[in-house]
Parts: sequence; C-alpha cells; structure tokens
Amino acid sequence: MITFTNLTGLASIVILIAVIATLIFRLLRIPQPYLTVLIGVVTVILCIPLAMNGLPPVAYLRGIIGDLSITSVILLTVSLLKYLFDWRFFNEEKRWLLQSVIAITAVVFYPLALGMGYFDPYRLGFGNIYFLITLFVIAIAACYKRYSLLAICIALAVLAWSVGWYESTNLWNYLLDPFVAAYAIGAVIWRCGGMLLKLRRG
Amino acid sequence: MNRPLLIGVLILIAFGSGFLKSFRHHPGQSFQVSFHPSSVTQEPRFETDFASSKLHIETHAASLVELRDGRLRAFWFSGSREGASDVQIHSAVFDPRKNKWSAEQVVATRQDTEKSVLRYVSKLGNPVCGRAPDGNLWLFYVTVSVGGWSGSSITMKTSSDEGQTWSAARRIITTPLLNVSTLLKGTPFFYSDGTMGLPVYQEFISKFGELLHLDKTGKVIDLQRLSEGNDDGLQPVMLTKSADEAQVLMRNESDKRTRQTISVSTRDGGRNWSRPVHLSLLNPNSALSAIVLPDQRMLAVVNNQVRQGISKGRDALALMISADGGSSWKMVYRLEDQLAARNNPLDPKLYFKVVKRLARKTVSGMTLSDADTHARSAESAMCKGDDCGFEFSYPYLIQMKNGDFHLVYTWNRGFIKHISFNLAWIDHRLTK
Repeated sequence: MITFTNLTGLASIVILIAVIATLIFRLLRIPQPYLTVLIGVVTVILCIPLAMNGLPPVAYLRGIIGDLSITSVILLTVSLLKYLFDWRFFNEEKRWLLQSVIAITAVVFYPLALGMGYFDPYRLGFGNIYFLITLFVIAIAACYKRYSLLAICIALAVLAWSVGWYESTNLWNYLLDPFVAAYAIGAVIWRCGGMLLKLRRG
Repeated sequence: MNRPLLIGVLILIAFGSGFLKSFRHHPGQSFQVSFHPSSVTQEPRFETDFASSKLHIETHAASLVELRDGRLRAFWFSGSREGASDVQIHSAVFDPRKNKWSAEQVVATRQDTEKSVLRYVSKLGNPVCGRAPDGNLWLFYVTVSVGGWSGSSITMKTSSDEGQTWSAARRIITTPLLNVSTLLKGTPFFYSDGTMGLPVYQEFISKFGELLHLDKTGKVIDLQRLSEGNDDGLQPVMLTKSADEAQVLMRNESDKRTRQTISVSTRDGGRNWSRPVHLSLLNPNSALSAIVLPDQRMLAVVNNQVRQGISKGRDALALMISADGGSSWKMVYRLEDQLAARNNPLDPKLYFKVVKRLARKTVSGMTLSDADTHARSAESAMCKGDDCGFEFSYPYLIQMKNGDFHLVYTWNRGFIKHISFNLAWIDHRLTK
C-alpha cells in the first residue's frame, strides 16, 4: 500500500516534471488547449508503474533528487498555473526578496550542514524553538511589508512540517532543497549582474 | 477578507501547530545503562564457527541482535560483489544451546525495498539491528540510488516476530542535501527515556560521525554531530558508561601513515561532546567494534596492525582491552594474523591451502570437502590474478544478557565468522 508520505513525495516530483514539460512544449510553440492536455497526459504516463519492476518513472527521479521542499513546490505550482492558465498570484517584482533570502540562507547553511565546523544548523530543524521564533518573525515581517510569496512559503513549510507532510521530520527539508537554492543563487547573480551592467552604462 | 489578512491567518495557524510540535519535542539526554555481569564461576570458553553458509558470493558488514529466547540473530549483506545490484540483506539465527546456526534467510532485497520506499534503489549495504522500545526488532540498512556509498541513505524495517517476517521498508531522512549520505555501522544504544540512538556517519564531501536519535515510533527527533569534516572520524561506536558518561570511538579515515582510533566523550548525558582526540589504539582506516564491561573496562576488536611504520590493511584482527578509559590498551588475543603474507603475497595455490587450514581451524570437525568449498569461496573473493590477500574486517561485538560475548566479522569476504567467549576466558587470557 502506498503511504501518505510516499504519495506527497511523488506529487512533488510530478509537479517538477509538469513544469519542465510545459517549458519544453512552450518552446515547441504548442498552443492552448493542447498544451494543458499534453501536460496532463505526460504526468499520467509518468505515474503509471512500469511492467519491469512495478515502479513508476517518477520514482526513478525521486530516487535521485528526493522529495522537493515546500518552497520549491509553491514556486513550481505558481509557474505552472501562470504558464497553463495565465493565473498570476504574486507580484513578480517582489520575488527578488524570496530569492535573496533563499540564496543567502543556502550559501551559509549548506557548507555548515555538510560538515564544515562543529555547528550543525540542520539540527535546528528538529523543532528548535528559537529557530521557529526566527521564522515566525520573518514571516510576519514579510506579510506586513506585502512580500506575500516569502510569507506563504515559510508558513506552508512550517504547516507541512508540523503535520508530517513528507517523510522528513526536519523543517529544513520543507524550507529548502538544493534545486531551489541553485535557482535562487542563479537569480540573485543574474540580478546583480544586470544591476552592475546598468551602473556601468549609466 | 483581504490578502494580507488571509496570509496572516495562515501564518498563525502554521506557527500555532509548529510551536505545539516544538513544545512536545523533548529528546531525552541521559543514557540507559545495561551491563550484563558474567558469573565468576564460569569455565573459560572460546568457540568459533561460521554464521553464513552461502558459497561463492561476497559477504560483508555483519551485525548481531539478541533475541528474547536467548538466541542470537545475525545480519549481513551478500551478493556477487560489494555494491552489486544483486546484493541482499541476509540473516541467520544462532542457538547457543545447540551451538548451531540456522540456514540463511533473505530479509531485504533491492527490489522489495524500492517498491516500499517508492524510489529507485541501486544497491544495499550495512545492516544494523536493534530492539525498539516497543519490543520489536528494528532493522536499519543502507540504500543507494545513485553513485557510490557517499550517496547512501538509511532505510528501516520492523519485525514483531523476532525477525521471521519484516514490514515494508521505510526511508529515514537525515540530511538536507538530497538525503545523502548517511551510513551506519555501530551498535544502537538507548537514552534514559527508552528511545533509541543510532551511531551514523556522513561520507559526502566531508566525513564525520553523528548520533541519530529516534523516537518510540522510529522517527528522527535529533541528530548530533560528533566530529567535523576535517577530523576524519567515521563509523562511530557508542560506549555508554553511566547515565551521564559515554565515549565514542571512531575509525580514522585520514591519510596519515600511523592512524589511531579517534575518540570523543561526554560527561553530561550527551548535551556536550569533547573535541576528538587520538587514542593509542591503532586504526588502519577500518571499522572497529567495542563494548564497556560492568567494571568499566573497555573491550574492542580492531585491525590494530602496523607494518613498517604504516597502519594499513585488514589482515590481522585483535581483541583489545583498556582499563583506563582508552588511554592504554592491552591485547587479549590475536583473533586473526596473516600479516606475514602481505610482504610475500601468496599465489592462488598456496592461498587455497592456507585458507583451507584456517577454515578447518574455525569449525572443529569440518570435513576436507567442506574446507575445500570454503577455501574456493574465499579464493574467488580475495584473489585477483596471481595475487591473493586476506581480510578480517568489520567486527561487531555484543554482550548477551547471560554475560557471554559474541563477535561476528567478515572473513576473507566469503563468509561471516562468529566467535563466542566469556569473561572467564578474557580473565584467563589476561593472566597468561
């Protein structure tokens, strides 16, 4: 029987594949409503267990990348809804704050969590009260300043962690993953590069 | 309702449940001590045999757990070679009354594991078993989806019938980066509240030891770092001395010529751990096993070999004892010694003869044809062309409730060797 956490983990990979497929089909200039139907077909096919060992293709990808963080799932879902239905929930201009917060956190967090020094920030994710208070303050401040995406990502990650949405019992696995970190670092570098170019020209 | 208000409500609900979970989170921080004193009237006893029986396959990384009826269950991985996709987790039961091992049974395969965890799994490794607070057996083993052992994560199965049948496998998440690369080798230990601790280690980018703390349902509630990436310590072995005092010994992974066992200790129930120190106990980058005796002496099984100033190789294995917290060590018994063959490598013909003799020495009354097949199995695993070597590695030592000691280790990659002895035999050896 498929457990709840296996289902949620696979769902996160399905969303990732749906976004990648959407980008590819958009490059191929496939028009709506065929695009939506095609994405639906691709995701269903990827979830059907293969005859050779009973594993669906998404399980292979899950074996390599694991379950995506809630932050990734939110960003991917927002992108998917924008591409497929042109639904825009958030002010794109304000996305940079989320990207900057993720990039800075990732640059500090990963080296420490992977063995640099004796302090392990990953340990804070097992329910450290001060870590939760810090996140609460950031979420409230983001909400007050109308940085909705940042506030929602933190709040939904904490909610998912507290109800045991994934197999992980560590809050960091809900907040951050290497893919969203790479995306955020790339976006920040791109933005900073653009600003430098503007300064030089100006 | 406007959007900021809705988000505000979401934040309050999310953090309300988050704080509730956090307040309930109280990992115990003192240790459970369970010494098993031996009867002083015992006669010295030392017996050897093989726990595994399959031929012409590679076996490695054995571990043990005591069953409720006084029997012993061993686990190891077995397949065409280490890291092959056909590797399975095998188990067998030893009955001390009959002095006999049961036939091997398969408790986990790559295929059944990947179906349960719904992820692709390419290989299995290192099984370790412990008795959970609910009385069930919890089996932990390493699974890899991509790459080498540095891509490992831990998977868990449970058994309510002493290992006859096993539940579906479940993944344990222990790292923030794709859940790689946690491995395990050391014996589980217990905190004062009955919850289980598992010595584990990381092998991705940098190598260091950790203690994984599981709640009564097997969920991870804490992970404590014992060493950092530059310390080169891995495969921690936990030695609980009292409710507050414990010492962890670690394999030395450094590239120094003379490597010594790494040790960290705590005096406050694991809240704080000392910085790593090097003990006098040699360690040629190989797994070790150790336990604490009721009189606080430490018993360790190690490849404590040094040759021409270099500690390397796994062709000698010794039982060592320390009465001063690990500062100095005395050899109780050299369990295996094939150091001489390293300088003068044996050709397959001579190797076959030596291994055959060793097999017959291990099992008293072994027939010549059985010794032949044992030697052939070891030969196929340990000979590369005309060069043959010896390997006695990955020891796993436990003390049973009746005070007896049981040790299993990899014997020339072809078999799991089992040695049982008692305290009277140790004392007898020490007075010699």
